[in-house]
Amino acid sequence: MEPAWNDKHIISLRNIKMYFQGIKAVDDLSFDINEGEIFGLIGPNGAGKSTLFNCITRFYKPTEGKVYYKDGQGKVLDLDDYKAHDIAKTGIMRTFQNLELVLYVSVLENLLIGGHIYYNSGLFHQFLRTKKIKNEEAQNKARAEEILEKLNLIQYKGMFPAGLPYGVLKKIELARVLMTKPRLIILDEPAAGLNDAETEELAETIRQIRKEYNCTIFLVEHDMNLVMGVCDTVCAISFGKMLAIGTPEEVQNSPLVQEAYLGEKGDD
Amino acid sequence: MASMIQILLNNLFLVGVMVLSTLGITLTFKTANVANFAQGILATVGAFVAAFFFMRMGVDPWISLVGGVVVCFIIGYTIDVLIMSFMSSSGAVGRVMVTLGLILIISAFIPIIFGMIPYNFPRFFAGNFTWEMMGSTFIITRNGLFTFVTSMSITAIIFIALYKTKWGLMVRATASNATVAAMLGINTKRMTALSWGISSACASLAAVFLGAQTTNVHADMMAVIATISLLALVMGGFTSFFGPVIGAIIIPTATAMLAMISGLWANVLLYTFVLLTILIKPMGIFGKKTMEKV
Amino acid sequence: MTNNLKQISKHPLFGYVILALGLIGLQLLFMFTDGIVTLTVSRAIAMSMIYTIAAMGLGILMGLAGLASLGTAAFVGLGAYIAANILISFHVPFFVVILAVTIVAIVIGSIIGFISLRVRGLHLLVITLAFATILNELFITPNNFTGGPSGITNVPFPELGMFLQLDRETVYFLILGVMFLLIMLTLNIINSPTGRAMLAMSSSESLAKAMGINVLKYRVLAFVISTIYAMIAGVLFVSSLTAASPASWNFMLSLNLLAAVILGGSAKPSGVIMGCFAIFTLDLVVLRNFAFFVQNPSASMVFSGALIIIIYAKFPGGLTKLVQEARHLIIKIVKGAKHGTSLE
Repeated sequence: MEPAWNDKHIISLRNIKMYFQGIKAVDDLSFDINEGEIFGLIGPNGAGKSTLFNCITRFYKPTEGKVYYKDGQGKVLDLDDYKAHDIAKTGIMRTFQNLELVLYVSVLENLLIGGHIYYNSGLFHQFLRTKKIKNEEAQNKARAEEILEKLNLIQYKGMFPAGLPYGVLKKIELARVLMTKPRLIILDEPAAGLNDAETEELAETIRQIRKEYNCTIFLVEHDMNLVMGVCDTVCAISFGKMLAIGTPEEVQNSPLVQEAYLGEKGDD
Repeated sequence: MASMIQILLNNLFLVGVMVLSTLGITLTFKTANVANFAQGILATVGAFVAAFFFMRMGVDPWISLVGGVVVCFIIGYTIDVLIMSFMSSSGAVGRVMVTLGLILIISAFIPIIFGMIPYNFPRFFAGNFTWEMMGSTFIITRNGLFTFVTSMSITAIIFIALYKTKWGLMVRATASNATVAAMLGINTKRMTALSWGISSACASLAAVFLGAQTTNVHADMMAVIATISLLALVMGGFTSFFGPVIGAIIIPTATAMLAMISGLWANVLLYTFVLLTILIKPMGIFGKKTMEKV
Repeated sequence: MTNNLKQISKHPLFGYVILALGLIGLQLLFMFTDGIVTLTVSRAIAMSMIYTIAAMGLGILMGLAGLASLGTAAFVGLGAYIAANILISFHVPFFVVILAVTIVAIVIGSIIGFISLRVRGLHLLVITLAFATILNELFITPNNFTGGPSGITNVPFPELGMFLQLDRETVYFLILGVMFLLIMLTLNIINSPTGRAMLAMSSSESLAKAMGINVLKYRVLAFVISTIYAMIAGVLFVSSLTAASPASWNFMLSLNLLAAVILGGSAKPSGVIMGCFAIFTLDLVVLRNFAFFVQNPSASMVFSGALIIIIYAKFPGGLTKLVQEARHLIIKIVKGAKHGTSLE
């Protein structure tokens, strides 16, 4: 079934419901994200933010509802047809709240893991280390170095992630995301555990990535400062239901959002 | 039909041995959070100690039995205090690896201490029970019946203790969440050491029973039984105490049945059957499914 | 000239070539001198190389893919029986035997790989143990394929190609050659996208999936590769000893191989070789000179067992880390000496 598609959108969520043994983690949510924007999803703990984006990346299969996504060729895909490990190839890439870096191989190799889908050589070429795999390896390495250079990380190239500062690790994770040539990046609470200065630097990096790599960014965040600072559109949810959607100011001024964040009106 | 019942009767002692051994493995797994791959070889030490008392020192078999079990309790307790308590940071896999290391160490020591020739151990009761029913004659060794009844009684006592006594409550609290249990004032270190001791004692009792029934004590005697106990633990599910024990009853019974049909290949068929069961129900027959958090 | 030498010494295979030349030298000494290298030593090194091959497969499984298996020895046995039967019945070159064994390994490895997707961690260990027990039952149950408890004897030495018939002494070079090829293969796997995908998978399956890595594929592949290595080790075992008996692949061998990999501390062949030679060669060459270890052949297992425990409790990283730290220390000392500063 082809949905009525607005060509401005890159991804479109229609009536997503996700129930865990009767608990409605996500209860009938629909929204669209425009191509090229930085879209923020906010909500208190347990609002269903993580569940929602796990539905997009197919780590969970939603109880009901559809996710449509426009790929690089302008084709609209129904993500029901994809498994979690196929999502990367469509150009959707996520990060993890608790930094999933491989700690005991170099930063460069961590980036090469990100480039996994850009290797086409079969096992035969890999095991015998033929010219073909050597060329691919060289291309991917060059690309990884270019990305590290752009994000000011090149000095960490040969080091192990174990022991590097947290802010640097966050940036390395972003660099690895870029290795997949993503079109839509989903960031899972990127500011968690960062201090103010690091958060500011992260905001700068996010803007830079959008500009230089033409990505759409979907930010799932708890930290209001980061969201209000960088997002074009913000969506606020609570208990799996939509509270408000619009520009950061509109959402900030919405009485429903204030209630969810600050408790009942009149209490204070 | 009659021959089938006879086969089950012959097999009764093995059910008792299996249940005790599986109870031991389940107890350490639940309280100390270790899948103790070394339990079989540890139990063998108990059987050797008992046989040593009996053969070399002329001690009465009953006292030899107690001796073997007590020595095994002490070894188990000591292993937890001396080794396992330092492994808390290395995770479940690290602890399993340590028990694998223990297998190598203990099986190296057995021939050094006890020599390479198998020991003898007498049956506790001689003779058979024979009775007529529905026109057929049934027979069971007195010793086999004793093994079965004792094993089942001990299992029942431990279950009652687990669910009715304060000690049992502390064990179950440690099993469900050691950190919380420690915060509530339970000495979890003592609990895990004690469960290592008790499960080693159960297992060595099983080994002595097996040695007595077959009148033979040798280094590999518990290898298959320990493997089956681990399979019973997986098949019965990690979440309950009952599941593994029921698995321990089903597996030897099924083997005996299969042996009637296929003779030589019974064990192969049985393992294949258990593997398939685990594949179909990975959380065990009585296990609960848990959701993975991403 | 010195520059050239420096370049050569930096080549990733440099150390392995030196090792291979050393091992060739040892065997030549055994064959052409009188008693400088004894038969025991030659045999012990051949066995250590065979175990190294099986352990390298286990190293890929554990060190790269983060999986574990207690069935390695049983697969070595299966490979040995298949090879024994082929060598007795057919007059085929060695590579045909390897090919046949590889095909069987792919089938069995795939089965375990698929199973491993349904069960994790401890379950997987128990499952591999059960699988090994099934194979061991097959080995000792009397039948034509395995010869039952007494096994198979009088297996002819393999031939390489049409003319080259191997014998008791030259089969050593076959083992060395196969080991060297598999070292190169292992290095290629570690440095390939496949190796990195396995690493990612062992670090976090969620991460692997998000990066577009098909976890099922790489789990199956890891088991297939390690099974192939183990079964090739079995082929070489039969080729060098000309006999196969069920006692050779008991659970203790699986545990010793596990200990060797853990002791090595790395999936890299260098680590596995260090681990295997430390555990097997030391036992077969050094300890057997002491009366105590001759009377108690199992006593050396105490070391393997204790090493597993010590490494998990106190020294994660094993010999690989030890060598790295020693190298750092030496570099520090050398630099300190050059600059004339004290170590403190």
